[in-house]
Amino acid sequence: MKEKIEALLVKYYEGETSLAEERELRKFLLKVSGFQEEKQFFLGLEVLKTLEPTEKAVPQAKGEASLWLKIAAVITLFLGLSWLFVDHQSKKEEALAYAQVMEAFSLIQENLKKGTTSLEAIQDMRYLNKANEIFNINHKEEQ
Amino acid sequence: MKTFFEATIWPLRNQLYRMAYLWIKNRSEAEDAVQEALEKAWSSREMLQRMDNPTGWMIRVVKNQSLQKIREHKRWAVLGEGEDLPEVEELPAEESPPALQLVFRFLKELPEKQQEIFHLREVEGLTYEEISEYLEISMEQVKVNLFRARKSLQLFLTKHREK
Repeated sequence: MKEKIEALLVKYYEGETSLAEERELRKFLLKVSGFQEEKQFFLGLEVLKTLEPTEKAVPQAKGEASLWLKIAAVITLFLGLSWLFVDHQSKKEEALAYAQVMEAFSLIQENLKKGTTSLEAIQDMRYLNKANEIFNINHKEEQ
Repeated sequence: MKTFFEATIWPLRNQLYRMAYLWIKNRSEAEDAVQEALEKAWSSREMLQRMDNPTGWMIRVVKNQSLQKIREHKRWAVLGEGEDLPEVEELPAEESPPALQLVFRFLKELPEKQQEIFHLREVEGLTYEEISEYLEISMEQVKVNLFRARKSLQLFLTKHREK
């Protein structure tokens, strides 16, 4: 293992190692004793690799919503308008139906009124027998 | 669905931060430099999207922001005789791990170009092609600078061993 590390180190210092060989070198160094300076230096590089800035949100343009937000807004607007249209239509139909029913009722009422007017003559007919009742003509004839 | 800025520029944040830290050697200043660079990128995102090498552009902007911060600190240090002001040319704080301090001591000895190339290779794990593209230099320049940086490292570690 030590020989392999030494060979890789020579290659490394000559700038001839590939990225895979450089990863291998760092891995091998962890498994053997010695090479203290190299180990410490590569450890420092690993520490540097972990440094990150504090979390921040990706900037978003105020007037420029993302594509998905735009799509969602259009769908919501479309659904809202459709609902308003359907609601308006159904209210219109209800009003029309109500008007038709009322018209039908008014026709029936009018026809019934006609019927009763024509029956008014019959009402007068009940007086035809009134004289007989008053003067009891039939009864007397029987007697 | 991610925008160009979210998919291409924002993921560079950690890498840019480490590069800024390498130049400024102060964590909060490095964070500010990256934030300012990202704000610039945000306002120029449409232009960036049309660029062949937006990463290279970002590295240059972060570098400019970092240099500006270093210059500002130097100016303040002269005006206020350096009292109570962070020393930007210093190594990471004493509480940093000794291994990290060793890396910074070594990097300080390198010329700027070698520092950048060494960092991109050893810390960010980039290939020669990627470094060449990011820094907009030839592959040959990348190889030569990395070779020199590693030779300096060999010498640096030998000296360290002998101490």
